Amino acid sequence: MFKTLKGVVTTRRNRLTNERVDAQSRIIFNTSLLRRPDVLGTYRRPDAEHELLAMLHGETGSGAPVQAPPPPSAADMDDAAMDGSSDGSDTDSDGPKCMEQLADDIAVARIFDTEGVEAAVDLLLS
Amino acid sequence: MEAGTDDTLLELLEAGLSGPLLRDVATSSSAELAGGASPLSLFSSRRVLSVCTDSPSTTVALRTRAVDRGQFLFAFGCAAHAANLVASDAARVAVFELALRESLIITVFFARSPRARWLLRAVRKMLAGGGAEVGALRTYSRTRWAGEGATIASVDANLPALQHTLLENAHSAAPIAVPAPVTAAVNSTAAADAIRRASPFLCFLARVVEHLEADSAPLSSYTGLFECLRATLAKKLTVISVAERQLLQGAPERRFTSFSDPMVVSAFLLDPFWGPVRGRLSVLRWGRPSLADMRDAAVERLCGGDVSARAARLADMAGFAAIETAHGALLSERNFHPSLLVAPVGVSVPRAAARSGSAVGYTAVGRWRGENV
Repeated sequence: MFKTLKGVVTTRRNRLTNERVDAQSRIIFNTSLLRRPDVLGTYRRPDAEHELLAMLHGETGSGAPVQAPPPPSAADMDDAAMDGSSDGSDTDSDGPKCMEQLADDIAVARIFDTEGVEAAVDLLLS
Repeated sequence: MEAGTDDTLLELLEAGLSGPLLRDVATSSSAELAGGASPLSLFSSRRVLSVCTDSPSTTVALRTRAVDRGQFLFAFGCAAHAANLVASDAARVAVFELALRESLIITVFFARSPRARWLLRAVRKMLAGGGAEVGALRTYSRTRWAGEGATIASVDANLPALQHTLLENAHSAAPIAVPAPVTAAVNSTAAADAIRRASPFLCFLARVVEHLEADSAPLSSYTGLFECLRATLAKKLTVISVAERQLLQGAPERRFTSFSDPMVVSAFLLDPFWGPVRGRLSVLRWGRPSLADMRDAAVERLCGGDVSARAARLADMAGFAAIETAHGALLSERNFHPSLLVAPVGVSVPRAAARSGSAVGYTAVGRWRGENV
């Protein structure tokens, strides 16, 4: 299993040295993929693009556009959403945006407690 | 922004690209271009062609400088960022502004009040009657404008439960203090109408951004998705009034023209996947130029002053379009990776297409740190 894992190419982490990949690794990764027939052979355009194409090509739909996937069930969502943390589709897992979201949540909580809901919304819309 | 920041970033980028892993990859074309080579002659599979970054002023300056120095043949802004800014622009249209504000008032209150949150959850369970519940309210991130679609759509799905929750609360022995703006937002027919009308477009936009951010969208998707966005606004989404749709049309147009590059348009025009709708989409004008004008600008830049090469490339591309129109491409063939795009047409290789192959293989989304260089 470990031998197989070492063979997995990833853009996120170097499995041999346990360090994050850098810009060079990313370029090498992308270039290598463009030379691999097995990767290119199994490539399929994403469903989102197929849906768009069908909608525009056929023009037989009801007029409703492609919808976002349904949100997770209430049980999955409530704890995360209501703790102030954002849902998975809304943030990067490790990017600076996550920190910005956290700072926003803290500020919204403080303003909500002291100045009310409309002031908190004004902050979010600023 | 401090003076010279873009220079500093460019130096860092150069240093990052000059490591041993890239010894076989050409990371600069400065010497060849200074010697009079046309950009087209520099296309090869062992060359880094383009840089894609997000678009604060510093990185825009970095992109411009990098292309001017010949270190990259072309540069463009991140498609997902551009689409996020379309959502930001949409929030200035009255119906979207009202929907977002009222949705946020509801979401913030129910997120911050534990008792209200648990009462809403209980009501949702009761209304579901053992069946599938609607999703919970979703919080909103200022840094990801497209997320407003999820926030508004979740409020739309929860409106019956929200109204029932307020009713339950009013009849309870120890009611929760619900602020007047929250009660007004939940019971307002104008807000409900705005939320219902705004949701489809914003969810559509969120889906586009989500798709672009998945890192699997090839460069041709950049133009394709923005074209679809405009075509959908023109012919679908009739739930929004014509005047509002006309206002919205300006947003993707403005963001696309300021973030993209003519080479991005070339990638779209050479990708068989978009063949069935290319003719319909190509008539849309982006500001003054059409897609064909942008394609010609890309060819002109690639060929420099070489008139015969320019004529040959344009003939290649016209031939590609004619073959595609005459023969079409099967669904399975349209799924080919763009770097293999010469294969589906099954004819003699159009040179411009072949040489652009490695370019269209790059993704349309960039995050700073040079990941998608």
